[in-house]
Amino acid sequence: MYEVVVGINIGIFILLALSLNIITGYAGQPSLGHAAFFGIGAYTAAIMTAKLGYNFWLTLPCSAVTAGLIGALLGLVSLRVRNDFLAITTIGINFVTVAIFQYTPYFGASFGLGVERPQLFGQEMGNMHFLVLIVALIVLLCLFCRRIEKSWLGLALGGIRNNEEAAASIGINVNMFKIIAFTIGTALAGLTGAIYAHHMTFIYSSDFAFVTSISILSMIVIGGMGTIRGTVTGAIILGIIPELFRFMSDYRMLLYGGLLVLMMRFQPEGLLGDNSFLWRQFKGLYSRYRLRQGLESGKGGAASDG
Amino acid sequence: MTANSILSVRNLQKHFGGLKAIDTVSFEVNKGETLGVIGPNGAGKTTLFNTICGVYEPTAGEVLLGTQAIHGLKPHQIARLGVARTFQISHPFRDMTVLDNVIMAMGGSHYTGLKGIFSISRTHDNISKAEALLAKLHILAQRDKRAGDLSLGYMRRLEIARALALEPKLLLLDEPCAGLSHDATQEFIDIISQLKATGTTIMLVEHNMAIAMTVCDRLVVLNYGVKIAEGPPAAIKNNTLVIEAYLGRDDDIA
Ligand SMILES: Nc1ncnc2c1ncn2[C@@H]1O[C@H](COP(=O)(O)OP(=O)(O)O)[C@@H](O)[C@H]1O
Ligand SMILES: [Mg+2]
Repeated sequence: MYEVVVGINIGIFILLALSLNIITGYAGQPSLGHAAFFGIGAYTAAIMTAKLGYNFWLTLPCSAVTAGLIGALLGLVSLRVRNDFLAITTIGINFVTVAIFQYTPYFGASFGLGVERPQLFGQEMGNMHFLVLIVALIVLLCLFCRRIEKSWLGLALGGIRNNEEAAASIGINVNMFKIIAFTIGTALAGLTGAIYAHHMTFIYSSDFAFVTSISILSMIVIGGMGTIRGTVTGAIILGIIPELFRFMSDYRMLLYGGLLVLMMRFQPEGLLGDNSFLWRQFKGLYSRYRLRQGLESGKGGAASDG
Repeated sequence: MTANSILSVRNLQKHFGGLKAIDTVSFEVNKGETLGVIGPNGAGKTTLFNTICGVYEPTAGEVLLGTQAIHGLKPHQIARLGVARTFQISHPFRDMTVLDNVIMAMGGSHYTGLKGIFSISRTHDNISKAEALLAKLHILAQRDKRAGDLSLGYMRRLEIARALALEPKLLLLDEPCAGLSHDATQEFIDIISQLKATGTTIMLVEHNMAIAMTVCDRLVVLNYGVKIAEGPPAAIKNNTLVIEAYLGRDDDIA
């Protein structure tokens, strides 16, 4: 069962990393407060089931909408401030959100909020069920991100990431697309929060603190921002390290920080980013393989011609 | 307004605090012509472009595209109405491929509505259209490179390809030859002549008189935000006001 729980934890990080990747990787908007939206989703869901008696499945869309609406507000703020100031603003939002959870009695204050495991076909949902649900969501989210990359939305976000003035000059409504990116990314973090709350059955404000935001950001930076493979890889690596080396879990931030600095210095594209060393090697190998195949089939063709 | 005017700028002003970067400037751009905007550094040429394109809201005055007033619209709206531009300092989408840079400018109406934004962008049709534009600017071989890795000359060409992908009614080029070698400049003059030949209406900011004289049908001369002359190159060449404006500086009479 231990492996299942580790799998769930990593799965949740993958969902969070993929959702942040839409904001920071695709649209290029720094966010150092993503955990706030994870928390908003978790608290929305916990209150809905534990206090108001709603069904767990209903909390998924509701948490997404709540977090997404607040995320849209952050998007509006992002229109007014420069990128470096936006980073500071998102940190602020994270601290304020955590403080609200921590000091409001309705949110359980420092005792946190307890919820029941949801029922599935008259049975309490077990860890295995959660793992299946999370894996299914990861697959869906990867497909969704793939679609973004292939669509006009992906190009518009890429334009904003690279140069807002140039993006506007070719007909891209920069403000609208920034808000779209923030809304989608934060809504997905909110949805993940709803699952987290019901898997953990207990949530504390500290689960959604600034360090969690930094962990999520580290995952996408280390794995390779702007790519699905890099984001997922980063989440798996940083999710597994503290499990492998239990003694390190107290030094997790030190580890992440160290890795971040090393990455920035030696491989700013991340491990598997589009222009990273590893990915270029891989592409080189692949194209050589293709070339060889082409030559062989070409030989075959020539033989049959003759 | 003449019958074949594409753009009319009327009593346009753009002030930055006390600085009158554009001071009551009026002119027309006619269909199919290449209008040059010349003037010494700091004359207000880039500001004029930025005001036409909606980057700055005019302090006063009007800009009409055909018969439609476009002043006060946002840059992306003006772009979609058919005014495309390049930048004095190249602004490619650096971490994206050359091909994507061009396809991005073909989004148009797809950049609104859920159905539009989630529809596939790199269709066969769009790819071949983009490739045709890259071929036109002689950078098809760079297709899969990251735009940020291109040389300055190629970046400039890419920006023109990207602007043309909007299928613009009017193309604004801000000093496309600045910083290029003699040979690259010559190639650019050829490219602009080719665009003229295919009927593109162009407004060209050129700080170098010699180049402007060769490619433009008509010139508008700015100095300290004021239009000091307008006419065919031959007449501008002998205009005393223009000569003074340039002789006041150290360069550029070629
Ligand atoms: N955003 C701005 N804010 C304040 N002043 C500006 C701004 N943009 C341009 N200027 C000033 O307006 C004048 C015209 O500049 P510009 O249009 O760039 O000239 P040109 O392109 O003809 O060299 C210059 O004095 C410049 O310093
Ligand atoms: Mg200029």
